Amino acid sequence: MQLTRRSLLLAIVATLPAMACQPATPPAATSAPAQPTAPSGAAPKPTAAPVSGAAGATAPAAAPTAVSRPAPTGSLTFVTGVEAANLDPHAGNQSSNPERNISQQVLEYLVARDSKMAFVPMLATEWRTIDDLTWEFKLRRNVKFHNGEPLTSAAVKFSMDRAVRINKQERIHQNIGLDRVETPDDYTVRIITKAPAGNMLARLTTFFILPPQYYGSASDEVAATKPVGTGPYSFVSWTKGDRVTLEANSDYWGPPPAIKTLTFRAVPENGSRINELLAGGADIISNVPPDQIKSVESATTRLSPVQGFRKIYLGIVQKDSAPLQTKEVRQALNYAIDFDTIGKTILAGYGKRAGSFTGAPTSTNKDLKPYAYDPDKARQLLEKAGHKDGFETTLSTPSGRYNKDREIALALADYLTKVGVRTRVQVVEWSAFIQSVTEKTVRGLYLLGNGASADPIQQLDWLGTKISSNGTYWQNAGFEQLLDQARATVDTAKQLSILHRAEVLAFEEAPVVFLYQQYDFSGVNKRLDFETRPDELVFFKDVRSAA
Amino acid sequence: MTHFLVRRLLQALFVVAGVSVVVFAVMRLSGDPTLLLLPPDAPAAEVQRLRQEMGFDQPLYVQYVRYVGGVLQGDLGTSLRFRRPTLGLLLERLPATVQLALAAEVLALAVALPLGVFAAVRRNTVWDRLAMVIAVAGQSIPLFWLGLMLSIVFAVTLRVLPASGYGEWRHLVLPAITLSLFPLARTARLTRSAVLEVLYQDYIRTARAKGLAEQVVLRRHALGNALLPIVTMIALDFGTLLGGAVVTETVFAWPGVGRLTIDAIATRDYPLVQSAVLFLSLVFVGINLLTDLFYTYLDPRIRFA
Repeated sequence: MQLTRRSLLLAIVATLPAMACQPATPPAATSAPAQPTAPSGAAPKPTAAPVSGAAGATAPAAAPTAVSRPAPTGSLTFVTGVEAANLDPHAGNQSSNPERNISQQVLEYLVARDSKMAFVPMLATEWRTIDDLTWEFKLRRNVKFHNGEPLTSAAVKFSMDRAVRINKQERIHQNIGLDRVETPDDYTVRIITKAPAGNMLARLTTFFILPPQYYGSASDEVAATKPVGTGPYSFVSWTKGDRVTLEANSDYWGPPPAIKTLTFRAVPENGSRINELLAGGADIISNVPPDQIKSVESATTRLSPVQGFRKIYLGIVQKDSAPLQTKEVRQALNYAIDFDTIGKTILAGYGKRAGSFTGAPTSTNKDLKPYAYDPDKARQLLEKAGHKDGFETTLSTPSGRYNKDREIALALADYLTKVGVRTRVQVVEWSAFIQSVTEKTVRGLYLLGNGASADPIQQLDWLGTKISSNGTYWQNAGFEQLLDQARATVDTAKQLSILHRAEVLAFEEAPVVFLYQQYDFSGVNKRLDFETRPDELVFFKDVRSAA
Repeated sequence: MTHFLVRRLLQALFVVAGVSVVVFAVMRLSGDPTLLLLPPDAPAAEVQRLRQEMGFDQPLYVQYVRYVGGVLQGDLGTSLRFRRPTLGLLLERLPATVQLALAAEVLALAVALPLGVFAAVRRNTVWDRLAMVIAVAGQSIPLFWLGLMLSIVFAVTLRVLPASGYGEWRHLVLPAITLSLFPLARTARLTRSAVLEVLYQDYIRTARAKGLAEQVVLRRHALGNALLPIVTMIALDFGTLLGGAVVTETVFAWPGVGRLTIDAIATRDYPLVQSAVLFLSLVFVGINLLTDLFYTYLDPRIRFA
């Protein structure tokens, strides 16, 4: 009797693994297009010819020449929170990092930024401006796309034309004011703009160059799922919802990467992502929440913090508030806050008061010292502006959008209240919050972070009237004029000095309370020599094993 | 019978239509999707252009009518993030979800049925109590916590199973255990009470009076009759597992429909959210319908009620 019951149970249990493993084929694994053998036998070798350009635009030293390096070995798994949706370099939202971090291993830009955010050659070896409207780029020779097509100027023209034709979100033509692309010879490209494009190089660092034959004939489906480029890694497969696999490109024009196989995965849950790192299933994980940074430290793993480019600030809305229209009051708000204490406590040491509104080491205005914590001066300024008894205001904040945003808002309100600006905190759901900023219906103060861009013009735009997400109602003709002037200046150094003047002006006018530059945290296996870049991008060809 | 079928079908249709209205309204109430599609530094003109292009400048009822018109023609919409038809995306993820739900359900039954019968037969003994404590605990432990704990023990500490992912049978073990716990507990408790109820019926007494062995009484007379409510529960649970594996799929990065839905909500891919909810409500309603039909097969009295 007992025996039969037990055997029944055993039988059921025994069928389990069989049932469980039934649909063993992963859903819709797409695999790489066949790689034709390279038609010409010539091994591509990196060419480098640094030339300084005319009209002040200079090309820095070209990429390092190839040193003999061992063939790529081993594998690396990179785990993010959000899965890639679409790998078409122009149709997808390439400003979002999950896609871009995959794409830029396979595809390449004309110009890239190094870890210090300086422009370095990639597919272009040198560049210059012929006149204010014409940029000329010399292409690297003997570079082949993974499908065997050669890199020529036609590929650059094709890529620009395609971006204009198909996409909605890659706005390269709008951003640089593209007029047309000319190809005087196979290795020379001229990009002609309608107005001087001071942001040309910055914008090219996000613009991928595609093989014309492949993308010219590929269906939307193929273009979205099987990228082909010139990069150090070629596409192998994409198991939807699970992983993207890449393999080192043996024909790469530059030094071969150290790691052979790359796997990109997405684990949305923070705790699970950290477990994956600790368990050895992931070698690098991104987006470690600040309150869990301690848990990624282990015998085999470490934390990699980096000060990103996102500036967190308090927007000061001048509409419907007489006090906030006064410069002295806005300065007082800046003096009233002890942000370094907030950084030490709420942000676990990862938050220091910022002076400059731009973040990159190459563009930040080092002369701008942050507003000091000086409550007495704040009270004096309020009194001078006729608000001795202070006034009431509200502070709107999203919750969970930025590191500890709600907690920071509460602390800020407390500091402001102490000098007489009685501040009430309103926590608003993100989509409603950003809508109120964009439609300029938010009042009082609001906590916001600007875009995590390395481009100083793009960052300062957040204080200007050109972008939608500025709800401050601050308008300053001088500031706008300087920004426009910078936009039209193709000489990087001149452009920077104009921007610094604009920044000093904004700092003095205090349209916002300048707070800090947010940190990003990654978890890394100690076997790797890897540090997070401040722009949150990863170039895996540079990742090596730790010595 | 036909009358019954028609009535149930109409009810199902009404539920699905209701769901579509609610989801459509809720997605629109939480803000203008245009702003979430563009980078925050997009120029105002661009925002306006995209709003027109996507039809968000139209009144809500116009947007809804357009949406329903599409659905009736089999067009559930196009995902904003993936830039592909949402139906294809959902169907692509369905096998993974079915696989996980099946594994969890089988696991749950394998444990719950013997556990429930055992508890019923040994009613009011220590064994019965113990079994029910396990069952109640299973129903009360949050999946989220359980999943993380299992992954810490088996992936991080013991390193015998992967912490997350998809592909091999090893990836299935932890999510299946996590997801099975709730239906396991529920089925075990129901089995116990169903078997208990049957055990007091006259025909059981008759069977025993005939001198049948207890094992035969249980198997041939008790279990068959106790099965009716259990089958219903299993079917309903399976519907819930298909739609409700959201937490488990998220914790273990399982590439199923639930996780796709959560991602869509997080990125405000509203056509995908709409389609996913509609899709899941169809699955749920469909399974309910099938259960009802199966019920009439098991118990003819219902057919003619």
